[in-house]
Amino acid sequence: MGGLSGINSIALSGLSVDEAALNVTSNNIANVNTPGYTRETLDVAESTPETVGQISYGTGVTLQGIKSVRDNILTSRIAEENGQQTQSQGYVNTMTQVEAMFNDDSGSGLQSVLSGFYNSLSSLSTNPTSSSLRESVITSAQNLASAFNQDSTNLQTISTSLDNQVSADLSQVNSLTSQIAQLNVQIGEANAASNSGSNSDTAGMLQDQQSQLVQTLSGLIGTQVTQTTNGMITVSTANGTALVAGNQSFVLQGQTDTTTGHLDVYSGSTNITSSLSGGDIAGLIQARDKGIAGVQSQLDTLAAGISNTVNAQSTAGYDASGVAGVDLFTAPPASGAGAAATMAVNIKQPSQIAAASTVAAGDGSNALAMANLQSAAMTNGQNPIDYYSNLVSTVGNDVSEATSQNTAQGLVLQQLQQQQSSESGVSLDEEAVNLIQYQQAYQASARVISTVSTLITTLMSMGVS
Amino acid sequence: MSIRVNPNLYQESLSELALTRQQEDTALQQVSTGLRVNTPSDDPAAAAANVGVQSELANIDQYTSNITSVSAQLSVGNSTLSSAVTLLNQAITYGTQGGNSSMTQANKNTLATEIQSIQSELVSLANTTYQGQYLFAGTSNVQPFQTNADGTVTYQGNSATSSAEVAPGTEVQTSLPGSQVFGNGANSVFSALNQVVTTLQSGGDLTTAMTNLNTAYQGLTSQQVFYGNSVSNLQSTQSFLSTDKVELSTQQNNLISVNMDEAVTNLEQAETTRQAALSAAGKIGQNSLLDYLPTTS
Repeated sequence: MGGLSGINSIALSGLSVDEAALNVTSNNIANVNTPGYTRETLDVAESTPETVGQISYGTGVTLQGIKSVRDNILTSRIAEENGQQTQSQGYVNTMTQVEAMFNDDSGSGLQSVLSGFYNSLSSLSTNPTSSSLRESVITSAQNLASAFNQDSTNLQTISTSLDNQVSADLSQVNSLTSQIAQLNVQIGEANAASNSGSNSDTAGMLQDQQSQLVQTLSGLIGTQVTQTTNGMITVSTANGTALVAGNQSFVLQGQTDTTTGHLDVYSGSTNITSSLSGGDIAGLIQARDKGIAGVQSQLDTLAAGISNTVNAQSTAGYDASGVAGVDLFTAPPASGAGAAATMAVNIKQPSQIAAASTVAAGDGSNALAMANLQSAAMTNGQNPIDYYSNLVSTVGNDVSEATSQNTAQGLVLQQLQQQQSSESGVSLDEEAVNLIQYQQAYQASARVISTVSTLITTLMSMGVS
Repeated sequence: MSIRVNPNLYQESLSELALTRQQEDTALQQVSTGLRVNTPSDDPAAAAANVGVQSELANIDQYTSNITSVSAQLSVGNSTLSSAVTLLNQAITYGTQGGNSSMTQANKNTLATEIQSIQSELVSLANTTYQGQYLFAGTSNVQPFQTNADGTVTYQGNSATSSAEVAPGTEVQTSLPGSQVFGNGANSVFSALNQVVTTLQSGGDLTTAMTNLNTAYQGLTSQQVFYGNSVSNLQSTQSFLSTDKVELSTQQNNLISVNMDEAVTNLEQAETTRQAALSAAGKIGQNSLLDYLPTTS
C-alpha cells in the first residue's frame, strides 16, 4: 500500500513494536532479581515489501515473537553437575558424623579402650593374685565391649535417619515430577499457540518455572533431561528410569527391605536403589550402603578378631582356682556380622580370669600372653591396634576425598551457573540502553505520524482556498 | 560484540565470601585447639599414625606402672634377704662360739635355742608376702615353708618363676622360687641350721655342720644378687622408657599439632582476605547506566 496512509501504517507498526520492546525491557528490569528468570529479547523482522511496478516499498516492521535467551544444553549440564554435587554433599554430611566417632585426639575413638583392656591384663600379669587387678580387667573388658556396642548403635541410628531422609526426598521428588509434567502440558499448549502466530512469552515464563523445578529435582536425584516437541521435556534418572514423559509423571516409592531393614527405592516393581547416581538420595544411599556398611563390617571384624583371639588364649589358661579358663568375651557370631553390636563380657567373677598358664595361682603368664595379643597378628596380618588405625585412616580418607570432590564439583557448578547467568541474566546497563533506544524509536515513529497528519492537512486545505 | 559478562556479581562474591569464611574457620579452629588434625579427614595418614603412637604411649605408661609394681616387689624381696643374711650371720657367730672348746654343754644348749629362734624367724621371712602374694613360693600361692613337728622345714611351693613385661618384647624375671633361694631338703639353709642345733645339743664336732652352714650362707647371698641387679636393671629400663615417651610425644606433636606461628599467621591472613572480600562485595553494583539517564526528557 503506497501513499500517505501507507506511511501511517508503517509508523504504526514501528510504534507497536517499540511498545512491545519497552514492555519486554520493563519486564526484564522488574525480574532482575527473580531466581531462575531468563532475560527476554524481541524477535523482530522487516515486513514483506510491497512491489508497485518496478519499485519495492517497505511496509514496516513485524514482531515475530518474544524469546527467552536460554541455552538448553547448558541448563541440563547444570542439572547434571548439581546432581553430582548434591550427591557428594549428602555423602560428606553423613560420613562426617561417622568420622566424629573415630576422633582419637579428643578421646572419642576406640584406641583408649583397646589399650586400656590389654594393659589391664598386663597389670594383672605382675600380680595375678590381686583381686582388684582382676576386677579392673573385667571393667576394662566391659568398657571395650560397650564402646563397640555404642559405635554400632550410632551407625545404626545414622542409617535409620538416612532412611527417613530418603523417604522425605522421595515424596519431594514425586511432587516435583508431577509439577514438571503439568508444566509440560502448559508449555506445549503455549508453544503451539505461539507457533500459530500468537506472540506470547507465556512459554518462556513456564519454561523458567520448569527449569527451576528440574534444578531442584536434580539436587534430589540424578536426572537426564531431553527436549521433545514444543519445548516439552522428558526427564529420567541418570540410569534411564523414566520420571516425566509428556504429561505423565512416574512415582518412585520407598520400600523397606525385610532382610537389611533399609529403605529401597522402587520404580513400579523394579528396585533401582543400587543404580541411582547423582542427587541427595544417591549420596545418602551411598553413605548408608557403602560408607556406613563398610565401617560397620570393619568394626565387626575387629570385635570378632579381638573376642576370638582373647577367648582362645583364655581357654588355654587356668583361673584363680586352677580351673581351666573359659571364654572372656561371649563368642562372636561365626560370620562376624553383628559382632560389634553383640560384643559382651562372658565371665562374671574376677576369679574366673585365666591369668595362669599352669594350675599355680601365682602364675600370671597367661594374662601376659593375653596382653601381648594387642601386638599379635589378628586379621590380614594386622594386630588389633593396626587394624583400628587402618579403619581410622579409611574413614578419614573417605571423608577427605569426598570433600575435595564436593568442592571441585561445587566450583564446576558455580562456573556453569555463571556461564548461564552471563547468557541469561538481566543486565541493567543493557536494559537502560534498550530503554533509551526504544524510547527514541517510539518518539521518531510518533513524529512520522504527526508529519503525515500535517501533510494530509496541507493536502486537504488545497481545495479550500 | 564483546562477550557478555555475568551481570549478577552477588552470586559470585557470595561464594567467594563463603570460601574465605571457611578458611577463617579452619585457621581459628587450629589456633584454638592447637591441633592441625582435628578430625581424621584433616589428615587421614597422620590420624591413623596417631592411633599407633597413642597406643604406644599407653603401653609405655603400662610398662612404667609394671616396673613400679615389680620393683617394689623385688625391693621387698631384696630387703627380706638382707634380713635373712643378717640372721644367718648371727647364727654363724653362735655356731663358731659353740665350737669353742671352753664351752659347757649348758652354754651350747643356750646357743642351740638361740639358733632355733633364728631359724623360726628365717622361716617367717621366707614366707614373706607382698600384696597377698608369697614372694618365695614360685608361682604357687601356698605358704612355701612349713615347719614340721620334728623341727625340719619343708618347701611347699613350686620351682617355677614369674616374669613381667617391662618394655616392648622385654620380659624380666620377677621372682626366684624359695627352693632356689633357701635351698631344698637336705641342702637347705634350714637343714644346715638344724644340723648345727642338733650337733650343739649332742655336744659333737661342729666342723661339718659349720661348713654346711657356711655353704648355705654363700648360697643365700649369691641369690640376693639377683634382686639387687634386677632392681637396678629396671631403673635403667625405666629411664629408657622415659626417653622413648619423650620421643613419642614429639612424634605425636609433629603428627597432629599445629605450628602456632603458622596457624596465627594463617588466621590473620584469612581475616584480611575476608575483610577484603567483604568490602569488595559491599561495592558491587551500586551503579548502573540507569543512574546517569536524565529523569525527564
